[in-house]
Amino acid sequence: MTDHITACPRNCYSTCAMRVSVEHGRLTAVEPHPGNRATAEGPCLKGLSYVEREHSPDRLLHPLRRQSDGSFIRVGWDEALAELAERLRSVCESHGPRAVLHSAGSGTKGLLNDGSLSFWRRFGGCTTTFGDLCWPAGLEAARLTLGENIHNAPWDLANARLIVLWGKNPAETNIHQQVFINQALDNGARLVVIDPRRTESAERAELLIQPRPGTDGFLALAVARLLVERGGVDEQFVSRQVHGFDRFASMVREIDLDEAARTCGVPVPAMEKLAGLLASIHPATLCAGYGMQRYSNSGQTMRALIALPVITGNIGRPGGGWVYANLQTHVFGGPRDPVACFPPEADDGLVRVSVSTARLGRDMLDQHDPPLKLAWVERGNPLAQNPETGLVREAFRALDFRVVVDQFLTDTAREADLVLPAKSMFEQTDVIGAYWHHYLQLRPRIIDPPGEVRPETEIFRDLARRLGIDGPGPDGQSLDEEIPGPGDREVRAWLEKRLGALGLSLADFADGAVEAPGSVVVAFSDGVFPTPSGKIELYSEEAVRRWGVDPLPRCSLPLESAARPGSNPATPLQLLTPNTKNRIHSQFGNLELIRAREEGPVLQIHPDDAEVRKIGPGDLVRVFNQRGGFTLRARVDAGIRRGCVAVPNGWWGEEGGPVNLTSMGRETDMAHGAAFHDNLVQVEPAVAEVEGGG
Amino acid sequence: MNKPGAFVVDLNRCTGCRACELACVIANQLPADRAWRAVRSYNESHVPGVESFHLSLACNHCAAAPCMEQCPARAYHRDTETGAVLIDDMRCIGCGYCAWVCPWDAPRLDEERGVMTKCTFCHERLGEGREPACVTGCPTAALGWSERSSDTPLPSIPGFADADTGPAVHLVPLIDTRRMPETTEPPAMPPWREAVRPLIPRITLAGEWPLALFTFLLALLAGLFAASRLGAPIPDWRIFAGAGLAGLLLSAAHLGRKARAWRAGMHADGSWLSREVLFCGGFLATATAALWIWDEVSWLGWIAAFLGLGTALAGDMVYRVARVRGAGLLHSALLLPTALMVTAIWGGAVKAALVISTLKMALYVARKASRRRQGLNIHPRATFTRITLLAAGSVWLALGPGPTPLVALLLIAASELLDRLEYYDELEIPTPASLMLDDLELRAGNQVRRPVSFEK
Repeated sequence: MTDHITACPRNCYSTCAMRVSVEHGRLTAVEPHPGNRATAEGPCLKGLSYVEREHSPDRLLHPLRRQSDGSFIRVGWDEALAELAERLRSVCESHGPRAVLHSAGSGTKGLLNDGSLSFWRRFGGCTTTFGDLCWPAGLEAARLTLGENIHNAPWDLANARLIVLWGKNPAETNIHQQVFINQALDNGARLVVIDPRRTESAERAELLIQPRPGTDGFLALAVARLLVERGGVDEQFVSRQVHGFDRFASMVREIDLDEAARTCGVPVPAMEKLAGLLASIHPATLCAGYGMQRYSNSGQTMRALIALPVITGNIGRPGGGWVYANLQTHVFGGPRDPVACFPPEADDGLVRVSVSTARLGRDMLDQHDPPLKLAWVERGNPLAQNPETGLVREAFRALDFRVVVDQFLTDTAREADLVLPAKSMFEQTDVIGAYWHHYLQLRPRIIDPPGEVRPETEIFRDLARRLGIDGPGPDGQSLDEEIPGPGDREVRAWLEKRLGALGLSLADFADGAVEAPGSVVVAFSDGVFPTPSGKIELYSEEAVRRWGVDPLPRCSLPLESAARPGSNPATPLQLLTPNTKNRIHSQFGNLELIRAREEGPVLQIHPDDAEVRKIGPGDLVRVFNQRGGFTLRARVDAGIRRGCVAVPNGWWGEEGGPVNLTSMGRETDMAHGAAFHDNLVQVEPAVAEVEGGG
Repeated sequence: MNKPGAFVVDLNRCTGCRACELACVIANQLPADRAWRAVRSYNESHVPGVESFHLSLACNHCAAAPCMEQCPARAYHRDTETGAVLIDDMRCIGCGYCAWVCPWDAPRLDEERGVMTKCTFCHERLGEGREPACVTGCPTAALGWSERSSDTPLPSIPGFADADTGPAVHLVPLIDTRRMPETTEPPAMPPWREAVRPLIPRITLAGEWPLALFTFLLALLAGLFAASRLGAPIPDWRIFAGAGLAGLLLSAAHLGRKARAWRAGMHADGSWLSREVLFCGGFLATATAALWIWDEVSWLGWIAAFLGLGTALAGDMVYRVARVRGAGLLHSALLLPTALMVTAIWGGAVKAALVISTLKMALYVARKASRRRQGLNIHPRATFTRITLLAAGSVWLALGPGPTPLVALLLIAASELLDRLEYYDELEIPTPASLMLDDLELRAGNQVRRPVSFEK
């Protein structure tokens, strides 16, 4: 048996360090590794479940080719790649390289992922996506306000005297943050949670504010008004560090508290309580989640939220600040998110960045000159995870050929013509960053890929040879420089080069996590804000220029909100699709270890909303709107706000609960995020026969 | 780890993520859904004004472990180094009684191997100086490990039985300021339809009917035999032995390891189940012998009669750990009164029989009335039949002709069998989950009602 230090590369805050044991080529144990101070208590249940995931009987071990009857048969690599090369050549000849869509998700982090686009540039280009499903509205709001997305180290939260979890449920999505919240509470800190749901993270809080979904910005501005009026503003900090405070202050003074209370569905005394806590307790940290920035109004919403730690002078101090995204590990060149996910200002002549991730289906169908003919999907499961599944499916089916690289037969892989088996995180060495802590971590190759699994790098290199594009690339680099050759030695040499540019080497990772060069524990403690004014910008001209929004964080209701006048009475319920502790998006749900701990897809619905619909606990219900619908069981739960229903996202279609059949492919007001939660639905009792009838 | 250790469970830190269960499954190579540690959630449906929390429990390796004390096969022992209470796979007969007597719902049946399994304290890991896998696997430090001490009294927590067994666990209850949040949503409107996930009952008639039949049959045989001591007609030994054998086979039917059934009598000094088995075996052997071979030896008959009634008494003692809502320790389906009533009926002690039958009727009616008040299903047709048969039998007995009131016996025996079956249907073994639900019902008052149907 050998022990290894590695790190979990999923799209998750925690990005845990892990000590894993391998015995005769099998992963036998996953335990904590204290080298990463943010995750010293060890991985979550998903991390533990790698012992199953790595060796799951459902793992794809061979290339699969779809037959005309829809079934898959095993084919050899040579046959698979020969056909693929031929298809690519033919698409390229008749329509040009941009008829190929390259679609990558966030399934596995790693520097080697860059190799994909290198390949397509060698191919002559491709079409690819811009935007991001997850978090760009909040990133952009923070970038416009603070200049960049960094925050205090996770463990600094223990120094907070007041913690506000706004739309964040770390107990399920960032369980390691709970450790620091608990430390802060042990030290006497206060905890407030703002969420339409009584989440697991709210249980130990002293106050839970449950606003109407999509009205968080109104709530924040009302609280800001109370702070401005009642002496809660840190005048000294504001005058020194904040640009546009006076204009912000006069805007919030005009807010009618009673009207805001009606809009948010939150009583004024609750707003007063929150304002009172923010005014009197320092340092305070506002930890913002992603849910409330998945609306069509959410860039402005998030700007309004950031204003609270700003005007109370909590930025740049230990135990204080705005905790949303910490991109201090994004040190390997290129712009950081969200700018990295904006479409480029000029066409580079190779890659057409023209498909919005949020509108994937619609935009795929809308590509002309050339239209899309072939899609390559890796690290993602767009048929489950992108909004408006119906259109995404239609767009995929409209193509001539689809290739999916994955470890499992996901909803998207099931639609493919060719499925290529992907490596796991234990089967190829790579270096990963994070977005909550500031550690770089190494995940070494410790298990040989099973079956005929090949790392993506090898797939691309093989294809490049077959297509005769394995010489110098368009940027003059050799194939080896862009995509390392087979074997751990080549990969490590390639990584050494990337690390060397930062003054690091793989040897530095011998004891685990390494702090990213230049990273800080307390963000903005130097008072430097890389905004146009050099100050925190509550008034942003860039926001106007780039997104056409008000320079101040003025808020409006989401486009699809039951509170909006004229909203369709046939779909009165706001469907929230939060994340669950049991999955990272659509990953992990297929494992026995996880399934045994979950009751299957359920709709969380308030007893009052259930009562009027004659829905009892466990009843089959149909959730639907004009875009689509699905059937699942109801969980009657008084912990959710009336008028909201919730189903965790990430269920595969075959399991029921494919939530994105109802969501709309619509961008957020800023930064090309996906407004998943602008999603009004109706719920009605279903009879068992309806199940499966879709 | 020289000193015996204990689990620490901090309710303030547990988020119910169930990583502890996974860690247990992985370290002990168990099927995914058969973890030795289980997280129970209190108030999952978020009844307003009531806190929600999770309670992660495994075996608490009690100082006075009921599983060990009550195991009829002496399959349990204690590891002296770590204090771990362990099951010997080679000795366990898979009767499942340890699961009934454990207040923490720790022992589980390994269906494949037919033996009970449970948390071992990861005593091998302890030996290597490592903490149990579940403790290591907890990502929030809600589950900890400390030195065992019995000084601090355990706090009262819904789901954690108030049992005087010396569990090796330290519970950290919710701190007052973290009990639950003040919320901005108004409470749910009354009447609030049931929102609590129901429990899958531990004991069901469908699963335990062989035991129901066995216990009833033995009480009947014991009563009939004892009556023969009072001069009643002696049953034919072949019928008697045949019925007894059938009862024994029924009782062994539920064992995971039937070939080891003989071990069930190994623990007469501690286990009522062992005593029941020994009494039963002894009764059937001596009674058959008395009837067949030495029917003139009266002292053997008296011994057999004593053993028969002892079987019924031991049977009742075995079931003390279970409860029936609406009934106390004294209830109408007890075996010893049944045996005594049969003795009285068959032996011609009409007045005694009527006293017992009246008492049974009163207890039965009281139980049903109480269950009805609690909103539980009372099976009206069975109730009606039970009452009618018992009344008819008693009236027949009081008015009927002749010294061998066969009709009365048949009527009353049928009524008794029905009650015994109903008793099994209503039996509940308190578990952490059921205790939590009871507590929540009490807290939420009329807001929460037991559901009619949810689980498939």
